[in-house]
Amino acid sequence: MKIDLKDLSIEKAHKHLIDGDFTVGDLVDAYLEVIKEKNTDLNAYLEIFEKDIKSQVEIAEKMFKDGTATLMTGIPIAIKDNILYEGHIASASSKMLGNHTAVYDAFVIQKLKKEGVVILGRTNMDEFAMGSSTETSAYGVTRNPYDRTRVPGGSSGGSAVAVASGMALVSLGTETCGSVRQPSSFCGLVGLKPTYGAISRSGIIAMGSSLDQVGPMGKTISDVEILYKTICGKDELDSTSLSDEFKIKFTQTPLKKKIGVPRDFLSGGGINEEVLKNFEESCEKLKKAGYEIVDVTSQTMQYSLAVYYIIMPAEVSSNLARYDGIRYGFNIDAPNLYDVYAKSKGKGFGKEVRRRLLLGTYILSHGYHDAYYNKALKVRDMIAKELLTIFEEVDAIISPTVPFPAFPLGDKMDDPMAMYMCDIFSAPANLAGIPAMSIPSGKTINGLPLGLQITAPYLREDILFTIGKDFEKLV
Amino acid sequence: MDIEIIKKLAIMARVDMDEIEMKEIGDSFGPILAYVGQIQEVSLISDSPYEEVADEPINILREDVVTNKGGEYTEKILSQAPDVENGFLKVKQIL
Repeated sequence: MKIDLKDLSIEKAHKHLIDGDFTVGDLVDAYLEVIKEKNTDLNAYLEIFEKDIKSQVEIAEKMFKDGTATLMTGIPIAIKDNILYEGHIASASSKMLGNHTAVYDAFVIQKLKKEGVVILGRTNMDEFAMGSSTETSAYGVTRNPYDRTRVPGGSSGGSAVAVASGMALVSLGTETCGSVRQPSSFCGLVGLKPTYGAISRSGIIAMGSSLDQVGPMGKTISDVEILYKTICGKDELDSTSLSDEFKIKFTQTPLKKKIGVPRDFLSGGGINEEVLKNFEESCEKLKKAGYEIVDVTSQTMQYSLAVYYIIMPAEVSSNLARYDGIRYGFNIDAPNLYDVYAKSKGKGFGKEVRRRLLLGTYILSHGYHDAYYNKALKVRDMIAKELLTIFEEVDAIISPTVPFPAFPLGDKMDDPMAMYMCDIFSAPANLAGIPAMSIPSGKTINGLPLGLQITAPYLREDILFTIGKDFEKLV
Repeated sequence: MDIEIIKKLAIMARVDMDEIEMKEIGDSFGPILAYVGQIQEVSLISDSPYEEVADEPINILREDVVTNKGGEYTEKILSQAPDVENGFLKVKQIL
């Protein structure tokens, strides 16, 4: 049968595979065909793992024959270029790691392999996940399939475009602040930033370790939910990953059917008129679905992005110190050790990475450490605590995912602060370690996708899925 | 920000860069530091019901024991190093 990739979901694909309507090989070939047609132009994938797709397909097909296939078996997936997959290049879209071959599998890759998922290739991203447009990649920009003159968002832009343009059924991105939700919003997808610790970060190239988290992306909430559940779990190699016994403490209390809108926080975000109109329509839809929409006030959320731009560069300057041209990665030979370090970093890292390294170094330096870093830690704690009290009243908080739709390529590249503002509504969830999800909420007059962000209490991804599915039915 | 400070930061961070970029980075720090500096006003919110104390971070430690066979991963890991001699990473002289 002809495979209709546009309306395909994990569950539908699984049913067809079980019924024998098509094989895993047919499904993978259908995606490879689209990749061949579209990837040169869109630049979503940096590499297709041609050498081992065949063996992955064989493993999946054997699982179907054995009767051991699960929902995820044979599902073609794209992975962000900062996720280690043994024997394959993982470059974080940086020249620094351009020839770096992963020597072990990330925890999430081990999980995918166990289910017989077919990993098609690695996707373009902002260099070391630093950016909101996939323009800081050392390997060219990725284009938005809805308008090729515009950015797909970032940093997981390649993973978003791969799914949005039919080059993968689902994908994995990563978040430090909005890097899954924002490109999902710009490309009309569902993107989840799970609770900090829900998924092990072992084998993920680190950016800001107190914020980083892997996130699934897909066309439907159900696809994202299935992928999320596949990659969850406690891992001895990531001490922040959470055990099932711990998770049980957060009992699945029934919904209050009440959703909060932080009006004062939103008013400071510089929301575009069309985005605001769309958001109000989303509120109305949720009312129709039986939810009460109430205003919630916050005194601290407005400081989230400022706090983030202190904590993140501080952690970046520490995490990226390892790329010194000695153990792995880009290396420039020089007569003494200092010059090997400085020249390797200077030439191996791109401009935005170099900026953040210096910013972090400044923030952590003697005399400024207290005013910036220590103060930011305290405000971060206040934000998390205030969110806890807000969640005593409501099941979830909603906002637009981004204050504006996808912007033209190059538009914000010369103004770092303007680029940073993309993450203004993303920051609270990353700082507080709570889950948040962007879901498609409509389009602008010019046909650019818009997203609604839902934020839930600690370990309550179930609330996001429930509200999201209620909303999805009405769109 | 003054280029002399940027120069010092570049040395501390071990990042080689030219003066044009240093100036550009210095210029971009103005708006960024002005934006992040707004957290200084947070303590001025007098009716904040929240304590200004960060929770103690929790360290999760494991037993300090070797969990793999000696040399088990050596070859794999060294395969990524630019300069190796007799199973060791080779570096330039320090002094």
